[in-house]
Amino acid sequence: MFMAVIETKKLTKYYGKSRGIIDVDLSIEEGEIFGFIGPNGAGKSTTIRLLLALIHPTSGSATIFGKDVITHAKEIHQEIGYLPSEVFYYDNMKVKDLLNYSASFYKKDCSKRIKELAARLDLDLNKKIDDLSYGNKKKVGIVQGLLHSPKLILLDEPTSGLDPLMQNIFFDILAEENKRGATVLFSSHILSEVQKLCDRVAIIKDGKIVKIDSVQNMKEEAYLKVGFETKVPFDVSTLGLGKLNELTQNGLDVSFIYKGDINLLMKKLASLDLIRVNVHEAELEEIFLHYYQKEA
Amino acid sequence: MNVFRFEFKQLFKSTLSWSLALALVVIIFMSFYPVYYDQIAIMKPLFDNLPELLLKSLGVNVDTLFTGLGFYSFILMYVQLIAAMQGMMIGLGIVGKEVRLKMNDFILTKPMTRSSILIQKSLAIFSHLLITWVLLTILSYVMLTTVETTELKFNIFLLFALSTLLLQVMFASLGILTAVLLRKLKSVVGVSMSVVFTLFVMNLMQAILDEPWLRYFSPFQWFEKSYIFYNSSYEWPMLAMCALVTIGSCVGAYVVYTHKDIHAV
Repeated sequence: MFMAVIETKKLTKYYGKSRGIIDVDLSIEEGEIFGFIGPNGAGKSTTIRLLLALIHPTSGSATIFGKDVITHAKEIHQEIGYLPSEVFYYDNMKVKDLLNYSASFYKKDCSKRIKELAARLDLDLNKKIDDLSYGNKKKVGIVQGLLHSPKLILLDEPTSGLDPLMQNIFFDILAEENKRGATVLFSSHILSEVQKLCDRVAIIKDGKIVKIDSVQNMKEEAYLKVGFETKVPFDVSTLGLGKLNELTQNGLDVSFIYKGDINLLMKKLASLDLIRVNVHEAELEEIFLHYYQKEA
Repeated sequence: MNVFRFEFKQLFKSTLSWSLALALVVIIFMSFYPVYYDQIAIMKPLFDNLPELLLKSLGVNVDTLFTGLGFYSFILMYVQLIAAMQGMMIGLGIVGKEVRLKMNDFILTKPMTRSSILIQKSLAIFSHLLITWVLLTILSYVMLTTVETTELKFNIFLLFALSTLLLQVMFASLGILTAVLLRKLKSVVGVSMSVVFTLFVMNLMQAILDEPWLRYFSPFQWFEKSYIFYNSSYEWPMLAMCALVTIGSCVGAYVVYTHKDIHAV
């Protein structure tokens, strides 16, 4: 029997009159690594901040571990690790002092885990935080978010400022935490990293969830990127392939993303007088773009 | 109580500096008193000839100036100005720390209620004000008993001293309220200076305009020294005003802090 670790119902947030998110319904199961994808300003951070009770919903509700995120914030936070995209710290403190202060909020001894994580990330605990580079400050944030072995890890565009090597180590750590039983919600605008790590993905656009699916399904759905060039100009709409996404026609050059019967596509293409044709499976990035194209 | 411990520990340096500043003012001014008292025959007519407005705005009462306690009440204006500044600065600085350093995401995602965070921080602030005040009061008492030629009226001294604490606490509450209302805080000193000096200038405004209702908005006149000196008590309406602002600011800060949205920085 699965349990929804995070569940939102018609979760809506307006900042005055401007839109945050509208009617977001999410259900994230225990043990999942869930990706949350969308460009800047789509509502990813708003959703995560609502889950953390940093901001209050305009309407709708959200629960974590079955408890209301606002009224039970204190209990919920005991089991949450959070890493924001940008990290800030107190002046004039050593890394270990900051981490010990952070650990003092939890009802367990975190000193061993702090040392383990710092060693993994190659972070010097005796340095002053002010003297650290941006990447190293980010590492402090990672240790800070994970030192109490949380059951739920919320990451809001966490990889900015980490070099590729550190990103890999970070992803390894997340995978281990997940194996241990932790659920992970990972927001990003970079698809490839979500693809690498996540089981399921929600795509958010202009404050609304447009699709929730498994990474596998998204790839398996036969989205084809089609490009060809004809000898004489023709009207694409006469092809009879239905609605085509990402359609661009540049003189004799045509390209689009096609979803449907591949044999029909081939028949239709065969009827044309072609110079060049190129059909390949669409990258997740391209599928993703198709959710984001501006409605004409 | 980890937030209290953390903030309490961090405040020691600041308390040490403020206590030193206050001690210097008290020691330097009070050691002038014996010299000045010896010259009473020359000094008194000099003061009598000064315009009343000037004396009033300087907080000088010529009738009481030539007693140790009267002289102390004169320097109290400057002591209270410094003490108010301390209150405002640590109130704003401690509660506004996460605003200034963009660390609200850090502290508010910890397993602790917002009310608990605010209460622990406030406790750290008020305990440090109390420490400063106790040191200041002991030093003032020692200085006064050393220079006073007649017997020291202890109850009046205590009323003077307590008024300093009340002002410190009032300004700290204002600082706390300001901290929870701000979305950005660049300079604690800047904001504190502007609030404290604006209210200090109300002092002069009131002296010039002589509008009695203005006193309610001029905290440095809530505890009128000559009134305390002659009546051995505070003026109740002014004390009530002080209580109202202090409690109002604290309750206001609590309500705002526990309900406000913390926006991404």
